[in-house]
Amino acid sequence: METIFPVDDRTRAIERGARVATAGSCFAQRIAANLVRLGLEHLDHEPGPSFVPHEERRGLGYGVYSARYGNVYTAAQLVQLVERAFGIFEPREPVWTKTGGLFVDPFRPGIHVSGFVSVAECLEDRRQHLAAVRTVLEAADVFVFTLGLTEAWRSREDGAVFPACPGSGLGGVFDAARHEFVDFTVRDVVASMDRFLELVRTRRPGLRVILTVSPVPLIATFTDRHVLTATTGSKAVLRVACDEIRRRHANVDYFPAYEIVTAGGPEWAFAPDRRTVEPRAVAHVMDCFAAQFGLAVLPPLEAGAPAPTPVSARRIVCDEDEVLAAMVLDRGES
Amino acid sequence: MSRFVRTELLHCIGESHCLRFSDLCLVDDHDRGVQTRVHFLTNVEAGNFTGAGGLHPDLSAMLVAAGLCTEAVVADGTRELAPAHRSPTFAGRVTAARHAALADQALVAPALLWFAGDKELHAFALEMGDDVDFELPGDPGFGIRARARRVPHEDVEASLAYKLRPFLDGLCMLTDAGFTRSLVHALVPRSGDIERVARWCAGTPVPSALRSKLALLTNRLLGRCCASLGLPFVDPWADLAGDGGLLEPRFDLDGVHLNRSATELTLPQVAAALAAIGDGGPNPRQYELLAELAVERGEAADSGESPFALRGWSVVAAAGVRDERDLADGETANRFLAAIEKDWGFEAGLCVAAVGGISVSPVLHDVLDAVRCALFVRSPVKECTVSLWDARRAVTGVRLENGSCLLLDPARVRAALVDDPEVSIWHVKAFARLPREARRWLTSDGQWPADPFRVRGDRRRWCEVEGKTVIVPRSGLEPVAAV
Repeated sequence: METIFPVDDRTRAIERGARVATAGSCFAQRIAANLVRLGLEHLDHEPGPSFVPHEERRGLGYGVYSARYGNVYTAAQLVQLVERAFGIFEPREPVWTKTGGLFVDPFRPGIHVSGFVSVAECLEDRRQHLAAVRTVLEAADVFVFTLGLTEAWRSREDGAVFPACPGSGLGGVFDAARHEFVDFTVRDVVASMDRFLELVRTRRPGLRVILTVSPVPLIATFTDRHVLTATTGSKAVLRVACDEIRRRHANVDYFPAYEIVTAGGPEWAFAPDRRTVEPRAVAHVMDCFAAQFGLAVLPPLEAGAPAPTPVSARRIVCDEDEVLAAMVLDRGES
Repeated sequence: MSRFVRTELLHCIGESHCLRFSDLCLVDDHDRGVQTRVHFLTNVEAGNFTGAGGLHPDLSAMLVAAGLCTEAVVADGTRELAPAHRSPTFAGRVTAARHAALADQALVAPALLWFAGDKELHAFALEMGDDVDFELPGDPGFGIRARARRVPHEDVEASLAYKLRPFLDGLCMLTDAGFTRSLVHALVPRSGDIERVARWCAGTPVPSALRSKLALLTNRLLGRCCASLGLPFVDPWADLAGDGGLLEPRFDLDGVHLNRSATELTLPQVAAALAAIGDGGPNPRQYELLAELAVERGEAADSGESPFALRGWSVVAAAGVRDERDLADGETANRFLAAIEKDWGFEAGLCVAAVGGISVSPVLHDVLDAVRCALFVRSPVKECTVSLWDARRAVTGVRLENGSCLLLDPARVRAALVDDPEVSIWHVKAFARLPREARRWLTSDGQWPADPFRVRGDRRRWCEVEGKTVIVPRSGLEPVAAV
């Protein structure tokens, strides 16, 4: 697999030193963590207080992406993040409570070790966070977004989309009168990305956007389908949407991370849990990224040559895993 | 008139805050005495308490020099510490036991009072800077400075936890090694004398409220760690702080340290905490050694394969039982003893070792009936202890404190209970003696027994050292035999 480089003809090079912002589902963390290796500047406009030790930052949600928004699984979540940052949209969903009397931001419940002490602390941190998001969007030369899911939970009141189901263990309480499940279609995803591009280009006209689809399968589905079928359906929707968005917008590229990983076969690409992408696959994804965007001239790998070492040993923050862990804890399972 | 009082030696270890405990002797109203010995380790801080090589070298050296640990060179040339009261060798164990017996004291973990220190906190306050503040959960009134940039509390807590981790790791290490009678002293309230405090913060005045919140947060982290380890956390904050939450000036020595008045207030709290933990739980070293010996001899006597293994039993580190099922089923325990009798003929220390490693539990009486429970131990076990779940209850006419000992019939152990819904014998343990080892156990009347290896009837403790002592579930048990 390491000898196959699925490079598009259309894409043009990214200049070394370009300022790259990242967002997306958990696989986006892998891309974000490896950008520096390619000579790019990974923007981080919410690095956290200077006194926080480097070793603790990631666990607190700092340095994972260009701002502390946690995983952004859906296109709808992304466009709403931008709308909130620019003051266009203010969701009505109140701050979520969680066990221990703590609070979480419903739009990034996975960033915590524990939680916010109070609603006031949460809202103040959100204010600083959204300011950082604005700065990211205004400073970035390239925005890499990894689409992860089509399934989501949203508010019936104003359509606000959450990265996790309310009450699923990360905080909040599910209320069927206020919350609903949604499975976005190709049209929904394209519409969200259209809106995203419209918004960001008013502030940053030259912004290049690179779309990818996460190869990580769903851990569960709320549809009536088997999770395998749901995964295939979801990835297909996202993949088709990417093509459609690319057709409609100049300066939007698609990078085939999904194809690179899945084409290698599960034994090569995934750990035994069938969800964790193996370091060698991540390394090859980044090599392909470099090849596609002219960031490095990669020599063909010799047979048996060791794969490049990726920056992939870091713990990947995944809300789905966190939800599962919270459920296991709640049930008293080991 | 002069009188003698036995005092317990309390080792106060750590940075400069321990110095105020130098050479004190406190005798309380119950004639319980505490005598302090200070080990001021000027280079040891919370942040370097442990490292890749284990404990800070100064701390290791102090533990050896004070006789709290022995040091041995192991196979790969590295030096290993072992608590002196839990010597890894028979010779060491016998020596320690005899010394304890000569002193008429229990061979239990020494009492240690640890001080995490302020140095990390001073440095951290400076790192935070004077333009940052945070909301303390359950803030007693320090508030947040109006113009300061507010950072999430969990960022501060995670950072402090990171800085304290070497100290907390060290506490875990020491407790696991057998220093079960450790206490941790909390950080004390911050002085409001900014100028005097600045001397300790590189000349930079850090707001008192911020310093106080950091200290309180640190205390919570320390307290949480102590709770998880079962160690008392001595926190005199409330007694030392004034209305504004700052240190009462009358206790302030130099802006950071406390004076003798404060010590007079806090030492009784330390002594009370020490008294509350008693002997600190079982000292399983004896049974570990006996179990090792049993295996060694068993292998030698049986062409290389231990009868324990032949029977499908494995000798667990100290308990000598496979799992709780062996303990929950009295018949199993008795069968085990019978098998040992047959296989080993009750000779020498070997069978004693096996018996010593097993609990012949359970005996649990029905709380509604007048029950007399008896346990027959057909073995050369010399003594048994009877631990009561509740204190001051009658057993065979003797009033016992929780955890005290009885000298019982060597061949037949009987414990009869009066009708009392509060009392249940939940643990009877047959202990062993080594061959030619003198009797040492006496009725203790609630004091520490003369036996150095006595365990205490503290159910929670036993649960925490699973695999090294006996755990008996309280429900679903039947008396082994009723008389």
